[in-house]
Amino acid sequence: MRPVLSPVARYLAGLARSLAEGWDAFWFTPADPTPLGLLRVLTGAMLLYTHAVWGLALDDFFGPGAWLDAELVRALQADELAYSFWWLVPPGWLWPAFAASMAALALFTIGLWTRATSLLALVVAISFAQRTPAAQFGLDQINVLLTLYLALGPSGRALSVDRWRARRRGGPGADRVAPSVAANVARRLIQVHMCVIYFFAATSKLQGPAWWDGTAMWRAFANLEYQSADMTWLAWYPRLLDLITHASVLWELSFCVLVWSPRLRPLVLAGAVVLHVGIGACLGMWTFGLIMLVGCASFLPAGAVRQLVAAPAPGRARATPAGAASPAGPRDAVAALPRATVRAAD
Amino acid sequence: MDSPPNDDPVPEAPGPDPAPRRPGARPLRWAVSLWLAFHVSAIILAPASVAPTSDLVRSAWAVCRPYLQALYLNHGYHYFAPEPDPSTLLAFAAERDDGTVVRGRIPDRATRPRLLYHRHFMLTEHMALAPPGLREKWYGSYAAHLGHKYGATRVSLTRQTHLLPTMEMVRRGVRLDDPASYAEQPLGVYRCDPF
Repeated sequence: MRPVLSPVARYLAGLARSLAEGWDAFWFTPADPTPLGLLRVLTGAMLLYTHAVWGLALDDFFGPGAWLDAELVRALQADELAYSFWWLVPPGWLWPAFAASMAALALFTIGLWTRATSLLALVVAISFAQRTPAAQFGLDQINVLLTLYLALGPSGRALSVDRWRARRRGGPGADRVAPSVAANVARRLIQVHMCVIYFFAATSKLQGPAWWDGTAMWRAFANLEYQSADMTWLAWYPRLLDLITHASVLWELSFCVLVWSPRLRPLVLAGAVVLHVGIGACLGMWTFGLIMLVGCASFLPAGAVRQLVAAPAPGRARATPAGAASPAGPRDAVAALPRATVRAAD
Repeated sequence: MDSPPNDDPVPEAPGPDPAPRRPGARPLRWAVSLWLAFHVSAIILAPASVAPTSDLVRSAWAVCRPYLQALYLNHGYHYFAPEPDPSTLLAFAAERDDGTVVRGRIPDRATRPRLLYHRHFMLTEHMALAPPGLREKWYGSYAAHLGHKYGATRVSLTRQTHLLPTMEMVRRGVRLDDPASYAEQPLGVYRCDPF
């Protein structure tokens, strides 16, 4: 019996060790916070726009005669752990509450007192969403999840007023941003959540015959309420519609696997741009398309992000890490990382 | 498990004196790992719990549900699924005491910016999915809003389902806004109290 069990036990022990090492490397490798800073700026800009638009119809959605009255919303959320500060705001304080919310979002976007303002931004985004549950769509879901992860991670450590103030104060290492485990965890969470979203967006489509018979995209383009560009000319090209339909599902379904391959990632992200710009241009959901692309931007390599953000400021810090490339293997590099610093590109 | 490559910073070469591991770092890493395992499971269970699903998934989701709801993460991500459906619109007539009537339809394609249009569109789309027990409350809330907005005391609501034309119909010259493509269902007349 022992000769049989021994290899099995060795295999299982090796598997467990390998899983543990993989888990550690995936989540706990310190990472440059610069990508997180870029995501904070982009998410903050979308939050600002999203909530500014609420301001155009504040009374209609948050006032005493709102579309969704308190009784209806409480009935909808009867058994839910839903909260919103809007239930505490007296009618006369509608605009001051809105202005304070916008101020919190603006501070989060520019990265001032980011630890506090990121949490405030999260409370604001959730409160607006929970007060108007029947006016929500995918945009709000992605807004909130990105804000949550940016609040968890050190998103104010790069590309922020906080960073600028730290540099002005000077001191040792003031011009460098240390890699951090929290930055990696936050970015990994965004990446994993985007994979979950695309996977279930695809598998839920597989329950509908129209995504199999190739007519689903026609049904989207033929919907006048969504239409922002007239795509009815496609009625004369049903094979092209078949292709767009199948390609959309295949891309969504394969995203969670292929995006982790460095070689395929540019193609997968290019597909995201095509899909979401298409949704924006043809179905009028620019905000949703753009915020999905912000989520996808979490897969951009940190080096590319540093180059991107350094480009507008020639002569400033180079968009490359400060230290020499480690000749050591990945495990040695991980061990060395807590001591590593990278030059800030902000 | 092979970890996907981390493209993050290339570290400086390790120095001769590696920084000592902080006390409590290992328990903290274990705690964070447990939370990560729970969190990732929860964000998978949220969309997985949407019907059709198994009792096992629903039971597991029930454990995570308060956590997901508190963080506004309890979503299905079923975009345009199972397939793109006809739209729902809401036509209304708001009658004032002086006899004037304001007529309109939600969403109104003239609403700008597009995001505000989409908010109104979602109001009617969600109304179409209202559970039977909440429908009257839902219609009453919309009617009360319209009465408040237009100073009306009576509001009549009509649900319109905008049916989708087939490719063949469009090739024959049928327009997307063909009047025959709107199926109407009167929802009722609602008396509105002045605010």
